[in-house]
Amino acid sequence: MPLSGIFSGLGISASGMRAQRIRQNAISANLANAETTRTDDGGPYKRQFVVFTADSDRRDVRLLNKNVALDGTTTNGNHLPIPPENFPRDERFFGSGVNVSEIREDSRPPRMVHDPAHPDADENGYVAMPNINVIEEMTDMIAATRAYEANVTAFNATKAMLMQSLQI
Amino acid sequence: MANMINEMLFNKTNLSMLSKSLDSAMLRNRAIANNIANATTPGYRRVEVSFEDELRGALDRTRLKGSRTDSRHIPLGRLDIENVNAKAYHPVDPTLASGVNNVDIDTEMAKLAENQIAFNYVVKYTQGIFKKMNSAIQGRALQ
Repeated sequence: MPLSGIFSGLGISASGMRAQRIRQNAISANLANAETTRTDDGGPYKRQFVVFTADSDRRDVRLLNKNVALDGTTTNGNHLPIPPENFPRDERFFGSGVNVSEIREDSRPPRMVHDPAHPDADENGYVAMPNINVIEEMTDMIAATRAYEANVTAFNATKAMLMQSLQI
Repeated sequence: MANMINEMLFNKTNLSMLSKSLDSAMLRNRAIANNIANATTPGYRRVEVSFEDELRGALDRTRLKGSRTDSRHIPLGRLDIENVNAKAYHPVDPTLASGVNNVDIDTEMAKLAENQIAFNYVVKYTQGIFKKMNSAIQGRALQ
């Protein structure tokens, strides 16, 4: 989503909050299904995790490359710098937040638990349990919560600055 | 007359510099928000905004500056203050292995707070300038 203008800082933080919420949902699903041995695809539930990618804002680049000014590179201390004339505010490196590119299934093998009484046990008495480590999910959840809070703080800082600028 | 007022009220004050400074704080805020949003993205490289260094360079009178008598001349050496703008860049970190995220959340939060205070300062300063102008126009002492 291309973002520009004064509210783009809010949009960036919102995208971060959204991404962490989706991550939190995946963790909740993993915890809820930590013992699920039957799924629609057959076999035990597989751990899900989200993959984040940085969202690049291509529109800003085109906006800014319109007036490319000459810019000399200095390779020697004795060179005279030729600065670009009134170069545009460089947003070339800017992204516009974060994107959840996919929700992937963990390919780790299922956990084999010896429980001959279980209806899904194989001939040796082993049950294929989901490849979920509850401790791992819990630590992941803490990380997601903290990352969410950091985004909320950034959002509030941007909001406070925008409100301040109305006071001039 | 209108020209003279413009000259006295706006050109002789550093309002243009203040607005640039506010712009740069807003841009830096965006950069920090982006870094925080991508704190858990693999391979993301953090963005930084430089403005103060550019400004310092433009104010350094010991640096050579080419004078221009034609608009087609290539500007040489030190920038004019009007041409100083905030610039976003990826800081170079040679210790960083490729594909690793270099965002440190504590540093970003600290920078966020610092930037907010800097922004508030410039806003207050600008408010002060307008307040003084107002009192001069009305011929009353500052309250």
